[in-house]
Amino acid sequence: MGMTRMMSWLAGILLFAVAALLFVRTANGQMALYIHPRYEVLMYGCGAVLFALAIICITMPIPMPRHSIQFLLIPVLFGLGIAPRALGADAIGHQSTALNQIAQRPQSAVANVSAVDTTQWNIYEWAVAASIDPLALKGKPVQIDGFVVRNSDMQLADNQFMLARYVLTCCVADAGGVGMHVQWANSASYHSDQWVRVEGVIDLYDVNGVMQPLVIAHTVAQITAPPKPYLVLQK
Amino acid sequence: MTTLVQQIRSGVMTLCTIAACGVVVVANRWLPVSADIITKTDLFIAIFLGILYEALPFLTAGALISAAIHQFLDPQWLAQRLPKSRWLVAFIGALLGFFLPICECGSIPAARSLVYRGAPVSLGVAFAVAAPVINPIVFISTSVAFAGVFGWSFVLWRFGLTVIIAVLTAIMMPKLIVVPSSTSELADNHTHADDEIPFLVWLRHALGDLLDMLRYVIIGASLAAMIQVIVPNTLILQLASNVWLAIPAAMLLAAVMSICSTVDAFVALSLVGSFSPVALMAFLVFGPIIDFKSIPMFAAVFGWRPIPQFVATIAVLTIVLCSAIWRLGWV
Repeated sequence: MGMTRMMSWLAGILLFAVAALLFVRTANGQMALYIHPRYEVLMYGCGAVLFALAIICITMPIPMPRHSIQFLLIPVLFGLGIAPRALGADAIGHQSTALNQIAQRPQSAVANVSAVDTTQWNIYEWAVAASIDPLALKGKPVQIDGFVVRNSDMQLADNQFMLARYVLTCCVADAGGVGMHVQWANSASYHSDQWVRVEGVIDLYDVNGVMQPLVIAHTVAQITAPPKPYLVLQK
Repeated sequence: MTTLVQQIRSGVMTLCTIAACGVVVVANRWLPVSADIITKTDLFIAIFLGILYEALPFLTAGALISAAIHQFLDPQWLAQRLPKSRWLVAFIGALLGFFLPICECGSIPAARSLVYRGAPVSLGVAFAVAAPVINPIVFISTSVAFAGVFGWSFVLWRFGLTVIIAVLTAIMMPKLIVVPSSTSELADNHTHADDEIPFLVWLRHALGDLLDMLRYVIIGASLAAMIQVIVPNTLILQLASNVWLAIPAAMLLAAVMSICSTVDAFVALSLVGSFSPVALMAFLVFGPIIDFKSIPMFAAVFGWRPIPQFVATIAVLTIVLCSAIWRLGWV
């Protein structure tokens, strides 16, 4: 077997592996751990084209650009070798673009607090509402899901933890953590990355002269992590 | 002899790649390394694969378009129809993206094919710079995100500034040379049988372009992921409060994030609370042109030597033009 043919075969196998990764990860929902779900259709389309190109590579060998095999190996090895994991509490210090820095903009869904069922809001919607008018939120009922963050540098009280979610616009590169402080007597029994559902009411507390919402929990129940753990913007 | 040395070198590089990635995988899954290292490798791999997965469909589309240009565009037809003025040619190149709606992953290989098929370099440069923004998808996403926040003038300035920067870059860097891809040369040297199906020839061209550009996207995605892990975005955001540093900080953040231009307006929207409008304009103008994913791709097309000047030219033009429209009160 000539060198050109062998390299072309290898490239074909690697392209096939990338196409298979796109198909399988999209079909089983794990692609949502990397990119916005709006790209799922594109993943299938791209996988089909890569599959066709892999067949071309194998049946009609072409000379490969220099080092293309080595570069193709990197995503294949990382994609296959490391199980997809959602970003968690440890990464929140790195990926906190949106952490409590939500844009102050009109959001019809959250602007009229008195007219909506606030138990339907997720953490991001609470954060947006808090950036518009935190005082209007006091006493409102809450039911939110998220993972627990108990980092030592957060200076939380013993009876508090942060409940957080990541918000995605494009891909993991722009993921930002959004969190709310929760007050619960047994906070210490929950560890970071544990998914919980919190039910309670909103109270406010002063942070350097700015009122921030605090969830006074009535119940905290452990739940399984959702298959699509990121909140996504602009569906 | 040379071929044998190249084969040995290629084999050694393949083994090194497998060993390096293998060490990361094994350490991440089985070795008792510190939690901080696992967090950082997890984050690196998640960001790397996120950028790569998101870029792949656009890169593949770009390779197909690039191959179509290479195969079907007649150089003489193009030469006869383009005006002689460099300014006008650059302006046409800057607006061409509206008819080829692709982001930077697609526009850079397509620009190379255009030049390789006889288009002036100034047209290729202006197209590569402007196409990620000057396309209908970006117009819709920017309008949806910002028309209601900062008004239509903000939306239109994004496109206006991009066209101005694309034209000026093409004019200010007349000595740029487009390096043909190794696969173009290979494809041209390869004799096609008369009865070879044009569809298969097109796919083979696309395959060559894809494998050629994929190398640079992988380098860029690795760099972007590494920098995001080493320098948290929160550090860059701290610079945003300084009026003098806000514009460069927004440009740096855009370069580090390396996100697709089709949705960067929504990412910018989430930064409204952190950055001033003019800094966000810099984010939206600079980011689609220059980021850690596109720099190696530009280097594949122009060679590495002119890249520092190319990046600096676009950075200075972005800062000067954004500052100008801010001082004039237009944003």
